[in-house]
Amino acid sequence: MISPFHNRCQKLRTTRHGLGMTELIVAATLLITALSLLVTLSFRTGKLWQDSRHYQLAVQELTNQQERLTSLDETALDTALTELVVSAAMQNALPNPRLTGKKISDDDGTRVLLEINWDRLGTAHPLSLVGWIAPPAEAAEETP
Amino acid sequence: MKNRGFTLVEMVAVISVSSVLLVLATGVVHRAMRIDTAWRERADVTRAMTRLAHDLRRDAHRAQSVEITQDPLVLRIVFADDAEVSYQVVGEKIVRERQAAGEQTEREYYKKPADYGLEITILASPERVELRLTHDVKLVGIEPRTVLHVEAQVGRLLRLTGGEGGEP
Repeated sequence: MISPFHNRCQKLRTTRHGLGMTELIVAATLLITALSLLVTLSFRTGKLWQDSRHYQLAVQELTNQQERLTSLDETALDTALTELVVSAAMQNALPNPRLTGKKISDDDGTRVLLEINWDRLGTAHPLSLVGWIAPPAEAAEETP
Repeated sequence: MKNRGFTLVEMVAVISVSSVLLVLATGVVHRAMRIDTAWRERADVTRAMTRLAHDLRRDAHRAQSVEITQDPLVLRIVFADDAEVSYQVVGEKIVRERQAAGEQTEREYYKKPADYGLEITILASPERVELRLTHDVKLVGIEPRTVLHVEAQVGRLLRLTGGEGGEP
Protein backbone atom coordinates (compact mmCIF):
# COMPACT_ATOMS: atom_id res chain seq x y z
CA MET A 1 0.00 0.00 0.00
CA ILE A 2 1.41 3.44 -0.98
CA SER A 3 1.23 6.13 1.67
CA PRO A 4 -0.37 9.52 0.77
CA PHE A 5 3.01 11.30 1.37
CA HIS A 6 4.88 8.93 -0.96
CA ASN A 7 2.14 9.36 -3.50
CA ARG A 8 2.44 13.17 -3.33
CA CYS A 9 6.23 13.04 -3.72
CA GLN A 10 5.89 10.79 -6.76
CA LYS A 11 3.45 13.24 -8.26
CA LEU A 12 5.76 16.17 -7.56
CA ARG A 13 8.75 14.39 -9.12
CA THR A 14 6.90 13.65 -12.32
CA THR A 15 5.29 17.07 -12.72
CA ARG A 16 8.31 19.22 -11.80
CA HIS A 17 9.69 21.34 -14.68
CA GLY A 18 11.71 24.11 -13.03
CA LEU A 19 13.05 25.67 -9.84
CA GLY A 20 11.04 26.99 -6.93
CA MET A 21 11.16 30.65 -5.98
CA THR A 22 12.70 29.80 -2.58
CA GLU A 23 15.51 27.87 -4.25
CA LEU A 24 16.21 30.75 -6.59
CA ILE A 25 16.26 33.29 -3.76
CA VAL A 26 18.62 31.13 -1.67
CA ALA A 27 20.95 30.59 -4.65
CA ALA A 28 20.94 34.30 -5.53
CA THR A 29 21.59 35.28 -1.90
CA LEU A 30 24.53 32.89 -1.63
CA LEU A 31 25.98 34.12 -4.92
CA ILE A 32 25.64 37.80 -4.01
CA THR A 33 27.17 37.19 -0.56
CA ALA A 34 30.13 35.34 -2.05
CA LEU A 35 30.68 38.02 -4.68
CA SER A 36 30.46 40.89 -2.18
CA LEU A 37 32.92 39.11 0.13
CA LEU A 38 35.33 38.61 -2.76
CA VAL A 39 35.09 42.25 -3.88
CA THR A 40 35.52 43.58 -0.31
CA LEU A 41 38.49 41.29 0.24
CA SER A 42 40.25 42.40 -2.93
CA PHE A 43 39.65 46.10 -2.12
CA ARG A 44 40.95 45.66 1.42
CA THR A 45 44.03 43.80 0.21
CA GLY A 46 44.77 46.54 -2.32
CA LYS A 47 44.34 49.17 0.40
CA LEU A 48 46.69 47.26 2.70
CA TRP A 49 49.35 47.15 -0.02
CA GLN A 50 48.95 50.87 -0.64
CA ASP A 51 49.14 51.69 3.08
CA SER A 52 52.32 49.65 3.54
CA ARG A 53 53.88 51.34 0.47
CA HIS A 54 52.98 54.79 1.84
CA TYR A 55 54.40 53.85 5.23
CA GLN A 56 57.70 52.74 3.67
CA LEU A 57 57.94 55.95 1.65
CA ALA A 58 57.20 58.04 4.75
CA VAL A 59 59.97 56.25 6.67
CA GLN A 60 62.37 56.88 3.77
CA GLU A 61 61.45 60.56 3.74
CA LEU A 62 61.98 60.92 7.50
CA THR A 63 65.35 59.13 7.26
CA ASN A 64 66.50 61.34 4.37
CA GLN A 65 65.44 64.53 6.12
CA GLN A 66 66.92 63.44 9.44
CA GLU A 67 70.23 62.60 7.78
CA ARG A 68 70.41 66.05 6.22
CA LEU A 69 69.36 67.93 9.37
CA THR A 70 71.61 66.12 11.85
CA SER A 71 74.69 66.97 9.77
CA LEU A 72 74.05 70.74 10.01
CA ASP A 73 75.50 73.04 12.67
CA GLU A 74 73.18 74.58 15.30
CA THR A 75 72.46 77.85 13.45
CA ALA A 76 71.89 76.18 10.10
CA LEU A 77 69.70 73.57 11.81
CA ASP A 78 67.39 76.21 13.32
CA THR A 79 66.97 77.84 9.91
CA ALA A 80 66.44 74.47 8.21
CA LEU A 81 63.75 73.50 10.72
CA THR A 82 61.76 76.64 9.98
CA GLU A 83 62.04 76.02 6.22
CA LEU A 84 61.22 72.31 6.39
CA VAL A 85 59.37 70.97 3.33
CA VAL A 86 58.57 67.50 2.02
CA SER A 87 60.81 66.51 -0.92
CA ALA A 88 59.36 66.78 -4.43
CA ALA A 89 59.42 62.99 -4.86
CA MET A 90 57.29 62.48 -1.77
CA GLN A 91 54.92 65.33 -2.66
CA ASN A 92 53.88 63.18 -5.62
CA ALA A 93 54.06 59.82 -3.87
CA LEU A 94 52.11 60.54 -0.67
CA PRO A 95 48.61 62.06 -0.50
CA ASN A 96 48.90 65.53 1.06
CA PRO A 97 52.06 64.91 3.14
CA ARG A 98 52.78 67.22 6.10
CA LEU A 99 56.22 67.38 7.70
CA THR A 100 57.03 69.09 10.99
CA GLY A 101 60.22 69.24 12.97
CA LYS A 102 61.48 70.66 16.24
CA LYS A 103 64.68 70.73 18.25
CA ILE A 104 64.43 69.42 21.81
CA SER A 105 67.07 70.14 24.46
CA ASP A 106 66.59 68.49 27.87
CA ASP A 107 68.25 66.03 30.25
CA ASP A 108 68.32 63.42 27.49
CA GLY A 109 70.43 65.64 25.25
CA THR A 110 69.76 67.71 22.17
CA ARG A 111 67.77 66.04 19.44
CA VAL A 112 65.64 66.69 16.39
CA LEU A 113 62.13 65.28 16.34
CA LEU A 114 60.61 64.92 12.88
CA GLU A 115 57.00 63.97 12.28
CA ILE A 116 55.28 63.18 9.02
CA ASN A 117 51.60 62.63 8.39
CA TRP A 118 49.52 62.10 5.26
CA ASP A 119 45.87 61.65 4.33
CA ARG A 120 44.57 58.13 4.85
CA LEU A 121 41.47 56.33 6.12
CA GLY A 122 41.01 55.86 9.84
CA THR A 123 42.95 57.53 12.62
CA ALA A 124 46.06 58.99 11.01
CA HIS A 125 48.78 58.97 13.66
CA PRO A 126 51.93 60.80 12.53
CA LEU A 127 55.13 58.87 12.03
CA SER A 128 58.05 60.15 14.16
CA LEU A 129 61.81 59.83 13.94
CA VAL A 130 64.30 61.23 16.42
CA GLY A 131 67.91 62.08 15.61
CA TRP A 132 70.38 62.95 18.37
CA ILE A 133 72.70 65.91 17.83
CA ALA A 134 74.42 66.13 21.20
CA PRO A 135 74.49 63.64 24.09
CA PRO A 136 73.27 64.57 27.59
CA ALA A 137 75.68 66.80 29.53
CA GLU A 138 76.69 63.97 31.93
CA ALA A 139 77.41 61.54 29.11
CA ALA A 140 79.40 64.19 27.26
CA GLU A 141 81.63 64.72 30.33
CA GLU A 142 82.24 60.97 30.69
CA THR A 143 83.21 60.58 27.03
CA PRO A 144 87.04 60.73 26.72
CA MET B 1 3.40 9.92 -17.15
CA LYS B 2 6.79 8.37 -16.33
CA ASN B 3 10.03 10.26 -16.91
CA ARG B 4 12.83 7.68 -17.14
CA GLY B 5 15.67 9.87 -18.44
CA PHE B 6 16.74 13.14 -20.03
CA THR B 7 15.97 14.31 -23.52
CA LEU B 8 18.74 15.34 -25.91
CA VAL B 9 17.73 19.01 -25.59
CA GLU B 10 18.07 18.80 -21.80
CA MET B 11 21.48 17.15 -22.10
CA VAL B 12 22.72 19.77 -24.59
CA ALA B 13 21.45 22.58 -22.35
CA VAL B 14 23.09 21.14 -19.24
CA ILE B 15 26.41 20.52 -21.06
CA SER B 16 26.38 24.09 -22.46
CA VAL B 17 25.73 25.66 -19.06
CA SER B 18 28.36 23.43 -17.42
CA SER B 19 30.92 24.35 -20.09
CA VAL B 20 30.30 28.07 -19.59
CA LEU B 21 30.61 27.71 -15.80
CA LEU B 22 33.80 25.66 -16.18
CA VAL B 23 35.38 28.25 -18.49
CA LEU B 24 34.44 31.05 -16.07
CA ALA B 25 35.80 29.13 -13.09
CA THR B 26 39.06 28.36 -14.92
CA GLY B 27 39.41 32.06 -15.77
CA VAL B 28 38.91 33.05 -12.13
CA VAL B 29 41.45 30.48 -10.91
CA HIS B 30 43.98 31.55 -13.57
CA ARG B 31 43.51 35.19 -12.63
CA ALA B 32 43.89 34.43 -8.94
CA MET B 33 47.13 32.58 -9.67
CA ARG B 34 48.45 35.52 -11.71
CA ILE B 35 47.56 37.96 -8.92
CA ASP B 36 49.34 35.71 -6.42
CA THR B 37 52.47 35.62 -8.62
CA ALA B 38 52.37 39.41 -9.08
CA TRP B 39 52.11 39.96 -5.32
CA ARG B 40 54.97 37.57 -4.63
CA GLU B 41 57.10 39.46 -7.16
CA ARG B 42 56.11 42.75 -5.58
CA ALA B 43 57.14 41.46 -2.15
CA ASP B 44 60.49 40.31 -3.62
CA VAL B 45 61.07 43.75 -5.14
CA THR B 46 60.15 45.47 -1.85
CA ARG B 47 62.67 43.30 0.02
CA ALA B 48 65.33 44.01 -2.61
CA MET B 49 64.67 47.76 -2.35
CA THR B 50 65.02 47.68 1.44
CA ARG B 51 68.35 45.87 1.06
CA LEU B 52 69.51 48.34 -1.61
CA ALA B 53 68.63 51.35 0.56
CA HIS B 54 70.50 49.87 3.50
CA ASP B 55 73.62 48.97 1.48
CA LEU B 56 73.76 52.30 -0.38
CA ARG B 57 73.45 54.26 2.85
CA ARG B 58 76.19 52.17 4.49
CA ASP B 59 78.53 52.62 1.49
CA ALA B 60 77.88 56.37 1.16
CA HIS B 61 78.47 56.96 4.89
CA ARG B 62 81.91 55.32 4.65
CA ALA B 63 82.82 56.86 1.30
CA GLN B 64 85.71 59.18 0.68
CA SER B 65 84.41 60.26 -2.72
CA VAL B 66 81.60 59.46 -5.14
CA GLU B 67 81.18 59.96 -8.87
CA ILE B 68 78.52 59.22 -11.45
CA THR B 69 79.08 58.30 -15.08
CA GLN B 70 76.28 58.26 -17.66
CA ASP B 71 75.65 55.78 -20.53
CA PRO B 72 75.62 53.39 -18.82
CA LEU B 73 74.61 54.90 -15.50
CA VAL B 74 77.21 53.87 -12.91
CA LEU B 75 77.69 55.15 -9.37
CA ARG B 76 81.27 54.72 -8.14
CA ILE B 77 82.09 54.99 -4.45
CA VAL B 78 85.72 55.11 -3.33
CA PHE B 79 86.73 54.34 0.25
CA ALA B 80 89.68 55.51 2.34
CA ASP B 81 91.56 52.23 1.80
CA ASP B 82 91.19 52.54 -2.02
CA ALA B 83 88.52 49.85 -2.19
CA GLU B 84 85.76 50.69 -4.66
CA VAL B 85 82.06 49.89 -4.88
CA SER B 86 79.96 50.48 -7.98
CA TYR B 87 76.21 50.36 -8.54
CA GLN B 88 74.80 49.83 -12.03
CA VAL B 89 71.83 48.33 -13.84
CA VAL B 90 72.43 45.00 -15.58
CA GLY B 91 69.31 43.57 -17.21
CA GLU B 92 66.54 43.36 -14.63
CA LYS B 93 68.89 43.79 -11.70
CA ILE B 94 70.88 46.47 -9.94
CA VAL B 95 74.36 45.14 -9.28
CA ARG B 96 76.62 46.26 -6.46
CA GLU B 97 80.22 45.30 -7.19
CA ARG B 98 82.97 45.66 -4.63
CA GLN B 99 86.61 45.61 -5.67
CA ALA B 100 89.60 45.79 -3.35
CA ALA B 101 93.29 45.20 -4.04
CA GLY B 102 94.24 41.55 -3.53
CA GLU B 103 90.65 40.47 -2.87
CA GLN B 104 88.05 38.71 -4.96
CA THR B 105 85.35 40.84 -6.55
CA GLU B 106 82.07 40.62 -4.61
CA ARG B 107 78.72 41.07 -6.29
CA GLU B 108 75.32 41.73 -4.77
CA TYR B 109 72.12 41.67 -6.83
CA TYR B 110 68.88 43.59 -6.26
CA LYS B 111 65.82 42.75 -8.33
CA LYS B 112 64.60 45.62 -10.53
CA PRO B 113 61.65 44.97 -12.88
CA ALA B 114 62.02 46.19 -16.48
CA ASP B 115 59.39 48.95 -16.07
CA TYR B 116 61.21 50.49 -13.10
CA GLY B 117 63.38 53.55 -13.81
CA LEU B 118 66.54 54.41 -11.92
CA GLU B 119 67.92 57.91 -11.30
CA ILE B 120 71.11 58.64 -9.39
CA THR B 121 72.25 62.19 -8.65
CA ILE B 122 74.71 63.90 -6.35
CA LEU B 123 73.24 66.66 -4.19
CA ALA B 124 75.21 69.46 -2.57
CA SER B 125 75.41 70.98 0.95
CA PRO B 126 75.86 68.56 2.49
CA GLU B 127 77.10 66.26 -0.29
CA ARG B 128 74.59 63.44 -0.68
CA VAL B 129 73.93 60.59 -3.09
CA GLU B 130 70.30 60.53 -4.18
CA LEU B 131 68.89 57.32 -5.59
CA ARG B 132 65.35 57.31 -6.91
CA LEU B 133 63.54 54.28 -8.28
CA THR B 134 60.26 54.86 -10.08
CA HIS B 135 57.57 52.60 -11.47
CA ASP B 136 55.96 53.64 -14.73
CA VAL B 137 52.36 52.37 -14.65
CA LYS B 138 51.97 53.36 -18.34
CA LEU B 139 48.67 55.20 -17.85
CA VAL B 140 48.06 58.48 -19.66
CA GLY B 141 48.20 61.44 -17.26
CA ILE B 142 49.73 59.43 -14.42
CA GLU B 143 53.36 60.17 -13.61
CA PRO B 144 55.75 57.36 -12.70
CA ARG B 145 55.36 56.72 -8.98
CA THR B 146 58.28 56.67 -6.58
CA VAL B 147 59.11 53.26 -5.17
CA LEU B 148 62.38 54.09 -3.43
CA HIS B 149 63.95 57.40 -2.52
CA VAL B 150 67.26 57.41 -0.68
CA GLU B 151 69.44 60.40 0.15
CA ALA B 152 72.64 59.29 1.84
CA GLN B 153 75.28 61.70 3.07
CA VAL B 154 78.74 61.07 1.65
CA GLY B 155 81.45 60.40 4.25
CA ARG B 156 79.18 60.91 7.25
CA LEU B 157 80.82 58.16 9.24
CA LEU B 158 84.33 59.32 8.27
CA ARG B 159 83.58 62.73 9.74
CA LEU B 160 82.07 61.28 12.93
CA THR B 161 85.01 58.94 13.52
CA GLY B 162 87.66 61.42 12.45
CA GLY B 163 88.57 59.68 9.19
CA GLU B 164 88.64 56.13 10.52
CA GLY B 165 85.38 55.00 9.03
CA GLY B 166 87.01 52.39 6.82
CA GLU B 167 85.45 50.25 4.20
CA PRO B 168 82.66 47.83 5.12
